[in-house]
Amino acid sequence: MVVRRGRWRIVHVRRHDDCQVITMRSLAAPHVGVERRFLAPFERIEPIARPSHPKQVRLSAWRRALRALIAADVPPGSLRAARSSRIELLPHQLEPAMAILRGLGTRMLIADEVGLGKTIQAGLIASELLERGTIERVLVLTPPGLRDQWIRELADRFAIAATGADGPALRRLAAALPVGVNPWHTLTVAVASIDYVKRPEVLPAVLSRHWDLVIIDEAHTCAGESDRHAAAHGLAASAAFVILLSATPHNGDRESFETLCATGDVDGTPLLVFRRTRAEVRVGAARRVHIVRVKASRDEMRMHALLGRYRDALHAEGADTLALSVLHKRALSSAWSLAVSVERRLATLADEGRTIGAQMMLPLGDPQGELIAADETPPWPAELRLTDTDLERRLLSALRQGARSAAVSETKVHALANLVRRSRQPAVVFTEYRDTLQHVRQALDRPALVLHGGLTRDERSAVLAAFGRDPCGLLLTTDAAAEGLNLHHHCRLVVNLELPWNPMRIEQRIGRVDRIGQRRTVHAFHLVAAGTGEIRLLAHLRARVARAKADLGAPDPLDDERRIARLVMDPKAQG
Amino acid sequence: MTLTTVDLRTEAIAEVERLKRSRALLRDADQSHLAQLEAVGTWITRSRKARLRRRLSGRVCLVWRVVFEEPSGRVVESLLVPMLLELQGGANPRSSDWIKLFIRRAGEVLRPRVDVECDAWRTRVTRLVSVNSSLRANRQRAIARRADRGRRDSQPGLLDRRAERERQASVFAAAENERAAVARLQAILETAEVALRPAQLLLVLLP
Repeated sequence: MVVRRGRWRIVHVRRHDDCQVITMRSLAAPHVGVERRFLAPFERIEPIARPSHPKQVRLSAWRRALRALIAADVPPGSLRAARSSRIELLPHQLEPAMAILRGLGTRMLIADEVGLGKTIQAGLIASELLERGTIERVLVLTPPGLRDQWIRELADRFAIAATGADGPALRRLAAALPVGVNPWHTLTVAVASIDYVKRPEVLPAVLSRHWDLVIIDEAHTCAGESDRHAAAHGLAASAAFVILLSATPHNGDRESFETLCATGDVDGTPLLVFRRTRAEVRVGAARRVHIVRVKASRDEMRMHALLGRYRDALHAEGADTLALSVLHKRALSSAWSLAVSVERRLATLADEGRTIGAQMMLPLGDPQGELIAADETPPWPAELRLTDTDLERRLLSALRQGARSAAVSETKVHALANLVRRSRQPAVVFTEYRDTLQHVRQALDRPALVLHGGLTRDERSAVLAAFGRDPCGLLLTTDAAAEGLNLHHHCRLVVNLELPWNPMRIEQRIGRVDRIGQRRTVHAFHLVAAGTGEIRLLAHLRARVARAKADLGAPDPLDDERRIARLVMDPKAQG
Repeated sequence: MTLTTVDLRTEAIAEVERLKRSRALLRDADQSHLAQLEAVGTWITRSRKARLRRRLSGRVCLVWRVVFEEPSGRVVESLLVPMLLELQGGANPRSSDWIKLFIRRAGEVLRPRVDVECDAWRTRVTRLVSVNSSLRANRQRAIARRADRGRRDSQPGLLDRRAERERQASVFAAAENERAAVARLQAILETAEVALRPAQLLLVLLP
């Protein structure tokens, strides 16, 4: 087309009631490739009148033009943006984008195993659809800790300029706009935390904007009946394309899985699912798993025995096994964390009977939706109470004393210190609870970085940057805080302070370093407390993982928490 | 809940190979030449190297491009059609008059041949565009139906000005959404109206 005496190629046309916004790319030197937007019919846009006679050029210029033509030639249904994107070309990563371009679906679940590049696959879909002008507006919903990583990946790999949409950024934007203009309406590619977007004061503004493509990362966190699911579904249900990403879409609860699969469903069309295993894809580094049996100290054995006494008393009153499992999880995580839980219960028991009116807490905790609460000290299960309060107080006081004594010198912390000292390279240490994390940091004889759900975005970035700089850095993190992080460029060593009860979580942990791009052998160390229920848990997890590996078509090796709780607590139980 | 899977492994492996070849050919510096070519029209050159001449052995190399365009003029898909043409006795590729005549005649005589060459491609593009736009249009219609179902009419209390204003705002927003949904559907349907443009002769290499 000819506009303002320049020659342009049309890239995208957006229709409005009385006008069209036409995005064009310049064909004329010195601004070749520069994009500009023109408003029709106010701008005079005419087709190029081609001269009837050919232009004689040098052979070198002719050859260059031919080379560019061949490089730009794309068969129907094939990828265009992948050519210039900064990604390693792996067939499994191209499949979802090809499926979308070939019209095989508009809603998709990419449920590949950890570390197979789900972010890249979603980014490629966005990039292809944007390149073709099929979509204009993209919303990426992520856990708070992954927002910056998404923005970086989209920019570095696909040259997509995404905006991080959080409270401060939107306030800054709103301040520069006329009164009454919704700042969300000015964003074309936005990356936002699902916990921020789900807020009642934020969601209506986001919903009022039409999004062409909604990508929901770690989509399993939006499964089930929750505010997160309501927000994700509301946004996805008005989007032309919906991409759900999760390595662990099924947590054993079928209803929860069904709500996940129904996210964004408006017409009952099937959800397109991609689920590839590492074995199928045949990528990634070698992996070695080491079991470190840590002999529990006398104080720790005493603590477990005291916990057993409390458990027996509860059993005698018919308490729920699953509720009891919380205490066992805490004991296996660290004696310190059990002591914290027991102290809270004792404080509650001391307060019982007092007539202090309860007051609602002020909502000052997390104004930006950046924090993650999943690694906080779990509340004491309501079912765990004895009718004889004095007996409960006596048993718990003894348990608290036992846990405190054991926490003075925990054998797993010693084993960890020894392991890190001998490895002399960066290591990531995982635990489930934030209080265990803080305790281990204090107990270690060397500096360590901590990453947990209580850190703000800037604090998290600073921790990860510091870890990236340190050639022998030690990063202590919780599952919740490290979800989705890419640490494989810097680290290949993972230590599990306690075994998670869900085997998929082990994969999630090791997957932080065992990803596409890891060039060295990955080492995973499981610290297992000998003589405790953790040994039985290990045997059970091994059997489940082996079974799942043997049967590629089998569903994920998901475990029923109740069954595992029985295994850990009952010495006679079989895996 | 219905789940579906597709197996595109073979196509993806072929796609990786195609992209690798494409990346190997990709040079930033070439893009300005391509832009000039698109802006100007046919480029013509001569083979000055003996090796290239031997390979051409008296033939002319032509590169055509066929494109599908949206009504707005945006190119949706394109195909390159290369062609080698044996020159008859009496041809004088060094004469500018002969070149002009050749280009004109090539347009008249060879364009139907190019159309035949891209027949399978044309069918594939048409089917793909139709499948994509109908899929997107169906979803867009379902989104609009859902928005309709979600709308609730309420009657504010007498003398309740605040409720009346809220109702008016919600009616206005609903009308806006409906209009936007219709526009989106219209835009999707328009993307299906792609038109094949006459094949364009882009490059000519003379012996």
